[in-house]
Amino acid sequence: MMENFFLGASLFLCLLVLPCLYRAIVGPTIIDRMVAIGAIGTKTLVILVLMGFLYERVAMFIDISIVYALLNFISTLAAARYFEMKGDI
Amino acid sequence: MDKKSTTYRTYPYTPLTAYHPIFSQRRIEQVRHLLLAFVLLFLFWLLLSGHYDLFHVSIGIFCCMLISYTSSDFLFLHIGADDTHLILPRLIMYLPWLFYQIMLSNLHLVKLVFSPISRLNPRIIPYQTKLTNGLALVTFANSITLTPGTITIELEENTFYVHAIDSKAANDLLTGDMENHIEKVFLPIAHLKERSKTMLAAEANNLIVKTVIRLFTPFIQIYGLYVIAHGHYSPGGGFQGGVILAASVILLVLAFGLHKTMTKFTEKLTVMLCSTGVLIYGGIGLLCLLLGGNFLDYQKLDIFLKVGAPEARSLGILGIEIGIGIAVMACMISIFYDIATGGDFPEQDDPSANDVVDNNSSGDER
Repeated sequence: MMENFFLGASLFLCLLVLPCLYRAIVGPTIIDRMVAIGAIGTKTLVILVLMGFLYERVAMFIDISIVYALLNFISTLAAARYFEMKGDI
Repeated sequence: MDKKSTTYRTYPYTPLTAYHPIFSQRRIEQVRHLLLAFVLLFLFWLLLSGHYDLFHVSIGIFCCMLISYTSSDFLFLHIGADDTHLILPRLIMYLPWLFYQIMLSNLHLVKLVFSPISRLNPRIIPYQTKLTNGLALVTFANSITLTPGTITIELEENTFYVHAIDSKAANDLLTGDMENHIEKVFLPIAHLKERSKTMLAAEANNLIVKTVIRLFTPFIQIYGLYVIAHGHYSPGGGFQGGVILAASVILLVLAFGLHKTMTKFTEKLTVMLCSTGVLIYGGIGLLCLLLGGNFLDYQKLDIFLKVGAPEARSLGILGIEIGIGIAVMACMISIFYDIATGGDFPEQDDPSANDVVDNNSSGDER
């Protein structure tokens, strides 16, 4: 029962990634793309934890998702700084 | 340390206790910061690590001591240790209220999304705040952003520029309810003028990013060390942990600029750490070779360790992971420095080269 719920939730989140992906590919400005990538990263994080519940190895998947969150944070920050400084870190 | 010893030497007739580094007020404050940082980091370590046997806990104590020694000053810039005892429980008590507010505005946003006629009325509102302490300002800004419907765009002196999605979200903020809650949390230091003014002047730009990164850095480093130390139970190991450790330094570069970080974490240090890591790796490997095994044949280390073959293998792998972690961290930072400087290697002693660096760094600050 619970497994089906987690599976359904992660599939639904996967579907929700698609609109963000559309914005990331088409998005007229760089800011659109950055926000879309950030949103996809957040969804991926939740999907990772749900996958952890499905495989019954939550501890391991939480470790991975923490690193993913960190990478998401760094990449957003680095991109923001890169565009603010016009190509110089 | 140097400064203190010179003060001591210039006033030889004052009582020893007044200038002795152990008794000075600042020294006591530093020790309290160290202890508090150690406790916080160790709690974080226990939360991460699922292994509570003597071996892993002692590794944890060592890692937390290392990080609280190197990075404890990151945690306490806007608040002292005294205030932290007061503020931390209140901050935890503030969270349920914040979650309740987030839930309320979430429901409001759901209504907006599903309403047949569009009632969106986005606007940017300036919000004058009476808070002056840096940490209080950052907590307030992040609370605004966490609440759906409002986003903090910029913080100038003591004015927030907030993007609100409709009039209700804007009015909720303008009632000042959230500000009053945060003022209560930071009560003893929320309005400290002189102290916070100098701090605001020192880091007027990007206060939010700088503060958040400064508070995160020690925990990221502990996480990197945890990944290295638990490489044989959970995903990770030397390479991954080294990259996470390097990421903490790269974050510092992103927030505080390349020049400031390179004066703290010099290129000399990266080269030294890089070769130390390789030395640990190669040293353990060669030791196994000398003891009559193959390269990296950890079982032979049992001759020294006398703990049994499986434990010796485990300890040997841990040593290798530590070496790899140090080397990978130093290499990643070195690569990042090289890319960020564009391949320039300004000599420290050459004044003209220093000028060039200063010009670059003043550009970095903005």
